[in-house]
Amino acid sequence: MSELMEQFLALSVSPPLIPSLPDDVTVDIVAARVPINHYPTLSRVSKSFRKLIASPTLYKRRSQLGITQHRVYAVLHSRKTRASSFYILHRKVDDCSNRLVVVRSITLKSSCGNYVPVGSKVYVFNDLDALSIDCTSHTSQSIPEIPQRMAYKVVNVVDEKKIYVIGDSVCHVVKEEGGVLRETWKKAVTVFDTETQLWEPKLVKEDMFVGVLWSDSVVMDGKIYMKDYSKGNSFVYEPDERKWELMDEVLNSKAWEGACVVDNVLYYHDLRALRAYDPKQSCWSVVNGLGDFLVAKTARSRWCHAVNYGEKKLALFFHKNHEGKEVIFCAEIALERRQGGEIWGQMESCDVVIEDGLFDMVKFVSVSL
Amino acid sequence: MSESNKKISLISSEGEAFEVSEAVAREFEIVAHMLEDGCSGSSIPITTVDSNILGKVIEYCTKHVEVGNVEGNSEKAEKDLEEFDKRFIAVEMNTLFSLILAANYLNVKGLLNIGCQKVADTIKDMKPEEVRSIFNIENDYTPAEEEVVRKENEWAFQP
Repeated sequence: MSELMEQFLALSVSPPLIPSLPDDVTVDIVAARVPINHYPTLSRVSKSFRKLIASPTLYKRRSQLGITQHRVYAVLHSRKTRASSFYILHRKVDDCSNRLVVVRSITLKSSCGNYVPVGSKVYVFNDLDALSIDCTSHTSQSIPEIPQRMAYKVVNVVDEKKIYVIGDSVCHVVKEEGGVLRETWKKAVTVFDTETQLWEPKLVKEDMFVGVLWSDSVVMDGKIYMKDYSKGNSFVYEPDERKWELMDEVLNSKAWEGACVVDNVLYYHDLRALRAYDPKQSCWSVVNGLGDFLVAKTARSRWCHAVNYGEKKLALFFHKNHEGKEVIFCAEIALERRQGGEIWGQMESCDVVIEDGLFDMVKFVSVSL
Repeated sequence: MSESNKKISLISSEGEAFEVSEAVAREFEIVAHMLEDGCSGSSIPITTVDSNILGKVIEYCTKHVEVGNVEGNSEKAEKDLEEFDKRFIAVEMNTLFSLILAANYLNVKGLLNIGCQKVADTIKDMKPEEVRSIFNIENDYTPAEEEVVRKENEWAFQP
């Protein structure tokens, strides 16, 4: 508690949070017992509460107490305004239904970007800039841009610390006769260390096709899995040994996209079933227990995005025609691994999260707070 | 068995003595530590807690010791205890604060838990102005500042 109190000295010049209680007790009440979706209300109570809700101390205390919650953020691209915005999945305090609401304090300059969650932050790399979004305060900050131009890139985080950017990079520029510049592109890996906020020198992979766009990528057991649209160029990158391997045929056999990883198992929904791939057993299975409901729900969707929503949970987002309108649904599904390795799912909620569905779903990420 | 029959006097801030069994006194972690440190006196001053609150804390600890001693603690006993806790903590705000302060000082974890939970549950159902009024918090925002904060958190309050 003394470390907490030390950190709290910064806050203690303000009036007490609740006059009759010591601030350390109030901090613990807010950190441990008030769900995160009530924090916006609290920050309106007084300046001291606002400071607390925006302070790293509170989130540090939550992680000390082991009660961090996952929050899902989305990037949606409006077909009307052609702009992308940052959304938060918010469980409304009054009727407990989920809703995607725009976070106006965050501006995304470009709609093409890579988004990766690291702890309580989301890192954004797009054509124009690079930034980190602090989800405790909904503020953003510029970070050093990727040092070299990279195309066809995928971005993933390994060990909650290092961001791996893998894609095609310009390796040589030769000036030819007549002054024409000729660029040589090679596949390369470059790493951003979120602790030092520095880029590490890129590693070039000589013997690999360039110009291949991976359809999806995930991290399982510290390895980066990159899925190609055609099956020939799906790879696995092992960061510790900097080793490239071809993707296991079984995993590569399905055209997974919009996938997420929960407890080192990959999940994706192909509009017929929620499928799971366990790399330890190298086999696909269908998540049991969801019955026809989810199939019926997703029947007329075009695509599903799955996102990790905690240790044993995922959220599925999909478009659908609903009462004559195109809307976006979110289904929260709790996952349970039973004896024998079967995975069972239970739908905890299914809500319309965007009523006007004229948005394209760009990316969903889950941060822990 | 003689251990548990030993009586200890807890003295409130007004000097009133409350005689309790050692087992009950040990529910106050601060007292348990004193006893372990060899403080063998049979009366222990609790100078920061008044008689009213000390009486309540003792009532809470006595109940929990009693239920804890029942052989083969049944589900029913646990339910009863939950009920007891619920009723016990349904007090007006000032008493709740005093109970939390006492539980925090005396280190009675269970009581501190239910007290803090009660505060959290109260906060959860309220609007900012209600939180202010019930916890006696001064609104130190100017109307302009309040508007800025409302805007910042607008996403959470959309219909």
